[in-house]
This record gives sequence, structure tokens and C-alpha cells, in this order.
Amino acid sequence: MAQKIFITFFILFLAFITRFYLLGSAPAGLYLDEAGQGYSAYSLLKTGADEFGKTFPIIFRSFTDFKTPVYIYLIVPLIPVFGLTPLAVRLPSAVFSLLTFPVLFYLCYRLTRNYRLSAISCLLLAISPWHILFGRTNFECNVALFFLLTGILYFYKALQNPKHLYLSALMFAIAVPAYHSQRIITPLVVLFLVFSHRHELLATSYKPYLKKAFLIGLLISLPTLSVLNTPGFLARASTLNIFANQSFLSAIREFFSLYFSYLSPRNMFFLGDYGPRSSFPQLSTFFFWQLPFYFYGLYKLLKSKIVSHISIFLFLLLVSPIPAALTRDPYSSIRALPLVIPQIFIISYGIYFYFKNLKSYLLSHISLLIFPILIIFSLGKLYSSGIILNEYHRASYWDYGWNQVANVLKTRPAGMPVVVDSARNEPYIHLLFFLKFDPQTYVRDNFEVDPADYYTDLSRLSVRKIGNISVRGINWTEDSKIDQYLVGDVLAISEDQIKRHQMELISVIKYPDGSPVFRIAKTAPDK
Amino acid sequence: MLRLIILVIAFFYWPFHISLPYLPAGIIVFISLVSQSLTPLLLLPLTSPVLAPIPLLISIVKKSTVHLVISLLLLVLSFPIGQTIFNFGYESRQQIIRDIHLYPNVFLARIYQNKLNIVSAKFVDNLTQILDPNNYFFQNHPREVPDNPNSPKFPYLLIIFFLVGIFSIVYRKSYFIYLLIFSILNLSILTNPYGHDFILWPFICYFIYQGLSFPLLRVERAIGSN
Repeated sequence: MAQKIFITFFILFLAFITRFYLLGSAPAGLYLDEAGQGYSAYSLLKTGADEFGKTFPIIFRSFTDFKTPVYIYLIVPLIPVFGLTPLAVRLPSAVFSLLTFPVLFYLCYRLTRNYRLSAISCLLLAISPWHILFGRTNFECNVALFFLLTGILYFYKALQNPKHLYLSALMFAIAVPAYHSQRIITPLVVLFLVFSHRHELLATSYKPYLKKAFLIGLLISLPTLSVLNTPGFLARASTLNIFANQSFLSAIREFFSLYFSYLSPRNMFFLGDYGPRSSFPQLSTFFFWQLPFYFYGLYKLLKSKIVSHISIFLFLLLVSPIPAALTRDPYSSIRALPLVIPQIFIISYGIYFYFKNLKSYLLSHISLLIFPILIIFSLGKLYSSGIILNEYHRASYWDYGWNQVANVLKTRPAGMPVVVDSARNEPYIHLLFFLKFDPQTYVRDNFEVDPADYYTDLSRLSVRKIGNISVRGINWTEDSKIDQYLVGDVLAISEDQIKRHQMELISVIKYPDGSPVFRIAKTAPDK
Repeated sequence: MLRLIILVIAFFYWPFHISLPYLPAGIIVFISLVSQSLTPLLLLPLTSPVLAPIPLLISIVKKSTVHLVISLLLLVLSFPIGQTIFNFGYESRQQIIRDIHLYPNVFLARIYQNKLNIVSAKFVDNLTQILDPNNYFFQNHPREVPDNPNSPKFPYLLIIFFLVGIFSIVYRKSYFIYLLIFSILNLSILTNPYGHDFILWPFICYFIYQGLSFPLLRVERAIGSN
């Protein structure tokens, strides 16, 4: 018993350390989606409406990419405690990442009745680069995974006590609007669970509970259903889907190639996600030492008698890549995050049976010595890639520098106007976030869409006003004649431009590698 | 009849697309598998010197002294060490040196940034490429390999039969499994395994064949046991 308690706390400690160490400051910078969600939550807190004036949106307009709502509403209560900071924005992800552990443990244990196997699964999840990255940053997929797994856990608990069906329905209903890919995965999982346990669920004693659970799920889903047919709801699907710009047969081939890429050892154990924000440098979604255990685990699973008991994991293995494979990006680990659970389970299965089937005394002791060394090495690798290399090599991808820009702008002479170049990014949201600009003023000065057309009108403003800060393209002919600050990247405000217009360089914001990211210069209209 | 057509397509698709110099190695491995004999493998170093380790490793496992001596001789005479991952370039060494300076202490830096990392990263790259089903059925799409023609090997629909058939490996004799493992390992230590991976063609064809037959085999066994 004492050993089990120790192991539990050790795993939770590992999970806590890997997710909460330097949370909010690593990755440095704040990606524009994170800033967008944070500011929407801030606006909701202050005004009851988002930055477009829409009260309690069902999906958030943001950059007309219509973000899912659950994560944003989770940030709202954190802002009074932590302020509008990167920590507040990333904290829900870390918390729900940690909460996934007891859910995974109990789910594994319920399905396998094997403590060691469940503990190994949690241990591997604690050091999983895939799960850790999305647990340290503002990604909704992590929160959605928690709700999906909890819904599955309570479904299985409901087979003993039907009252748990209510909680299961609630969790599934929250999972759907929590992230885009859950719109496909959760309904499929629910159908699978209901079909595979239809005899129990359709028993007379269960029917009243089933009806009430269905009503609960439907009630929670009503807001989502109400916007189902709007361009806003379909915005992400319409821009990313593979059927958009090619023939049906080509799209089918594309779908299969993308689908199998999520089960490919090359992506799992070497390449990882191609996106610089969805991966750590020199680290894939799984560690290479897990590769042989993965194949061994697959082999043992297919020969074992418990396949029917863990069918939900195998079902998750097959369906999790589907929504991701419908989009054009190769091996998008964010969209296929639920896949981490069955793949971790398979690796755990391989490890468990490797140790169980070891007959040689010497080999078993060597293996028991090597395994902790592998765990420690993996932790070191996480620190090396996730903290050291990531900060240095990928700062630009995390929109590093806007906090520093905001700090410089706060100290400028009172009333000094500013033009911030927006040719290559969306700086307005970073400035709103770091300046903690009043949402009511922002809504008043930047009318983009009528609340009635919030989900249907996809037009966007080209110029935004944040007090006397204008966010637009720099017009050198006009802007150099006005006494003001100009802010832009090294392309917008080059050294040549500074010389030519005889501007005064106020500040240069640099990346951790020393290269300049932003220049802030003061015009010289008198010269 | 349909099964036969699919098998013929699977059997000839890759040879139809592969360059001629790489064909003999695949045919040699095919003959060795069919005959369950080591002797044909002794011709491998003569057609593809980079594959010289394969007959040596099989000889060790099969404890055949004659084959061991001959394959060792052929390895020493023909194996081009310069075409392996142990011969790494200037830029990769420079990247290690650049990244070392980012670490707070020397110990951590030497553990995670060293020349062994270059070799192991390339080994893992090759190994996972060889184990990637997309390599054989989708021309490495959606993540094509640089410096690689990414040429077609098998029609993509056959991947289903391949994935089903691969589990038939548990019923195979050890010679098949050893030859497969050593082929994969040999390919993984090459600078560029492209073309030489044709030696896996007989194995994949076998798995596709099993994938076509496997469900029927299990049904027959189930009926037999009843």
C-alpha cells in the first residue's frame, strides 16, 4: 500500500514539474491565439461581452477563425487572481493536463484491473512530450481530452451505477464544443460505447437514466447546435479540409496518406509535428526508446484476451486521426491529441509484458536499473528541448517581443501617437493584451460587426485603434510627417528607412539569439 | 482470381519503378527466402556492397562457419564505410557546437549535444523511414524525404492487406524474421537507403499475400478447431 502511495505521488510530482515549471514564461512570448483568447476572457470579465461587443458568445469570432468557447470561459475566473498575464492564459491547460492523470489511471484500472499497467501508462503520460507541450501552452485540445476521457470513465462507472450516466453525458457534451476535432471524435466514441454496451443500456432499469442523460447532453449542446449552420461554425473546416481544392479521388488518397501518417513510426518517434509551436526542437511526440515497446505492445495486445475489454482504446486509436486527416496539415499533433492515450497504453502494455516475461535474473535486474535511467534521461531531454533549445530557436514562432514593445510604449511621452505596422501579423491583439486596454473603449472605437451578424459576417477591419495607437500598414509618405512613434519588425522599419527619414531609434527588441525582432523609432517631421 | 490480380500488381509494381542497379539485391533476397538458404545471400555484397553486413549477421545467427568466413571476407573487401551514418558532415558538427553554448552547465551540454547524437539521429531517421508504411504505399507523402525521389512502390490501397498481413509474422520461421530484422538494421546505417530498400520488396509482398489470405486462414482454423 505504501509503495502504491509513493508511486502515485511520484507520478503526480513528475506530471506537475513537467507542466508547471516556468509555466507562463516558457515558451517566452505569447502566440496571437493565446493573446486573443486571453483578451476575449478579459473583455468578458469586464463587460460581459467579447472584444466585438457580443455578449457570451457560443463560439468566439477572434480573427474570424471562431475559436471554441470552453477554454476562454475557463480563463475568465483566473484573471482577477493572476491578472491578464501569460500565466493566467496557460494555467487552465496545465491544470486540466494534471487532472487527466487520475482519470486515465482509473479508466485503465477499470478496464484492465491491473494496477501496474495503469501506473506505467500514467508514468509515460507524465513524461510524454506530446501531452506536456499542450499542457504548458494555451491549446484547447488538452482540455477537450480531459472531458472526453472523463466522459468515457463515467460511462464505464455507469455500467455499475446508472446515475453516473448523467455525469458522462455532461462531460461528453462539454467535450464537443471544447475543441474542433471533438466535433467528430466525441460523437463517434459515444456511438461506439452505446453500441458496444447496448444490452446493458437498453435494460428496463437503465432506460429512465438513459433518457435523462440524453436530455442533459442535448441541453448542454443546444447552444452549439444553434450555430451549426453558420459560416462561423464551419470557418475552420472550410479553410482546412482536403476536399476543398481537389478531385474526390485525389482527396481520398490524400486522406489515407494523412490518416496512416498518424500511425507511422517515422512521425511518432522521429519527426514529430512539423509545426514549430506544436513540437519541441530535437524531440518527437514519443521518445525513441519507446519504439520497440510500441511494436511489442501491439503484438501482445492482438494476441491477448483483454482486447475486448480495452476496445475503447483501440477504437480511439482508429478514430482519433480522422479529423486531423481531413485537414491538409501533415501530422498535426494538436488535432490528433486523443491519439496519445491509446498509443501510450500500447507502449505501457509492451513495457509491462517485457518485464513480466523476463525469465533471466540478470536481465531483469539490468532492465530494472536501465528503466529509471531512461526516465531520467527523458526528463533531461525534455528540459533540453522544451526549455533550452525551444526558447532560443523558436522564440519568433511564439510572437516573442510584444510584451517588451508594450512596456516601451507605456513609457512614451503622454499623448504621443503610435503607428504599429500590421503587414505581417496581428499586433493589435498583443497590444490589447499587454496594455490591458479597456475593452469598452476598444469596442466603441473599432466597430467590426453587428452582434446580430457575429457568426455570419466574416469581414475584418484593416485598421484598428487602441487609444492613440493605430495598428495598420505604415505609410512612409504620410507617417514620416507626423511626430509619432513607429513600431514594426525589421522589414517594416529597416535601418535604411531609419536613416532615410532621419528617425530616432527609441528601442530595439531582440530575440534570445540576439537578432532584432522589433524596432521602435520616433519620426522627425521637422528634419 | 481477384486475389491473383492483386498479387501480380503487388509483385511487379515496385520492380517496374525501381532503377535497374537495385533489382538484383531484391531478387537475391527473394531467392534466399524461397529456398530458406544462406548461400544466395553471399552474392549480395557483389551486387550492393553496402548490404555486405546482412550475410555476415545471418551466418552468425545460423552458426554457419563457411558462410561466416566468406561473408566476413566480402565485408572487409567491399563494404564502403564512407556511405554510412558514421561519416557525418561539417554542418551537423557545427550545429552541435552552436547548441552546446546554450546549456547552463557542461555536463548537461555533453549529454544532449555530442557527435553520438548526430549518428543516432541519422540512424533513427533511416530506421523510422524504413518502418514507415507511407514510404511504401504513399511515396512518403505527406512528408516526402529530401534527397529522395520518393518513387512509387506499391498501390496505396494494398496498405490494408499489408497491415492485416503483417501480423502473420508470428507464424513465420526464424530465418524470415532474422533476415527481415538484419535487412532493416543494415539499411538504417546507410547514408541514404533509397534504392537499397528494394531488398524489403519480397517481405512486403509476402505480407500483402498474407493479408489477402489471413482472414480466410483464421476462418479455416476456426472451422477446423470446431
